[in-house]
Amino acid sequence: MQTYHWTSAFIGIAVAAIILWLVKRDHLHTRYAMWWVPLAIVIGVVGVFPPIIDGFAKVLGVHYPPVLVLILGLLLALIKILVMDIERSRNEIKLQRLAQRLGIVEGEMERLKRERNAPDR
Amino acid sequence: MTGGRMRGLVVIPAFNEENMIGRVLDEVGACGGLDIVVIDDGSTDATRRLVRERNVLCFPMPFQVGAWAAVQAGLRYAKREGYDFVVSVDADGQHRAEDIELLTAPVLAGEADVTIGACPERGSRLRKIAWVLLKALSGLDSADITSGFRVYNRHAVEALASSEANLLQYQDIGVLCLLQTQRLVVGEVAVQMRERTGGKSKLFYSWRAVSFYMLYSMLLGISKRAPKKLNPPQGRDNGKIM
Repeated sequence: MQTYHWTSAFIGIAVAAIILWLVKRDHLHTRYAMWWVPLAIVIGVVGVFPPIIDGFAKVLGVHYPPVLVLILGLLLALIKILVMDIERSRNEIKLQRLAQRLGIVEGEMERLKRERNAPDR
Repeated sequence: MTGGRMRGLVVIPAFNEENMIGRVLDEVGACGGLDIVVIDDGSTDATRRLVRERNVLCFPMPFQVGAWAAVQAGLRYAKREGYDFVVSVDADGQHRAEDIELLTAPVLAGEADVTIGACPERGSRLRKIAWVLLKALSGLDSADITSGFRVYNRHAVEALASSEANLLQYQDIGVLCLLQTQRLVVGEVAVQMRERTGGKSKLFYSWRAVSFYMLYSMLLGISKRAPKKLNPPQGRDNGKIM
């Protein structure tokens, strides 16, 4: 087996192991684990059996298989970032509306306190 | 007073306006018949104290949410309390309280859902060029798109209190496009505005801020452009009122 095979196997399994450990320790919540665990498995498998990529590349008409890995990696990263921005937008809305409600409640409380301490005749 | 009188709420978003807030509150208060609420958008000066001293309802935002979100807080409150209309007034004294009646008239008469107090003369040349560009891109035809002096009726309040209107960073393009998409009638009334006393524009305070605003507004205008009306809404005059 060539050296790079050991390297890729090591990298693949190490990444997979770290991700699975993070999920197990609940550092990575299950919702996000649904994305990362399959990814970890794929990385692990491809790391141990790089010829898989060669097979895929041939089917897709890519002449230099490693490029396929890079492209797929970038594509997945792009999708992930896009999804994250979408989620962040949703969170921002929630946060802003929460802030508004809090401000309204505090303002009304302040008025009630004032009226209680000095009731209008 | 007999029942059936329309209840109005004046919403004043304020950020560090200790210089003028007192005077604005006194002026608006003198109008009579309107409830007032000041939305304190994270002021670090004496604004809040000055508002409290006058016994005016004040909503303190837990962190700075921006001018539009501050106004929206007032709109959400108005919707909840069932107000018939909302008047938005700036806290820096640029808007004259005596013009409020001019703005509320078309709304109360049912001629418009929103009235904008327009003062196109007030802008610098640069601002006017920006307006022309933004209007062309977004398909809006109001004369003064950045004016914060407006009256909103129930329908408009309802539309703008929704979460759809939340992430609009500025109150102009996004809000007006949204109103247009909802087929709400926006009218305009010419008003005089006072010079800003002290302090630079909150919007155009630096080239970076201006660039961001232009980029943001252009993108928003293009994406939120309301489709061309095929049939005008029944029984409404869609034209401007000047």
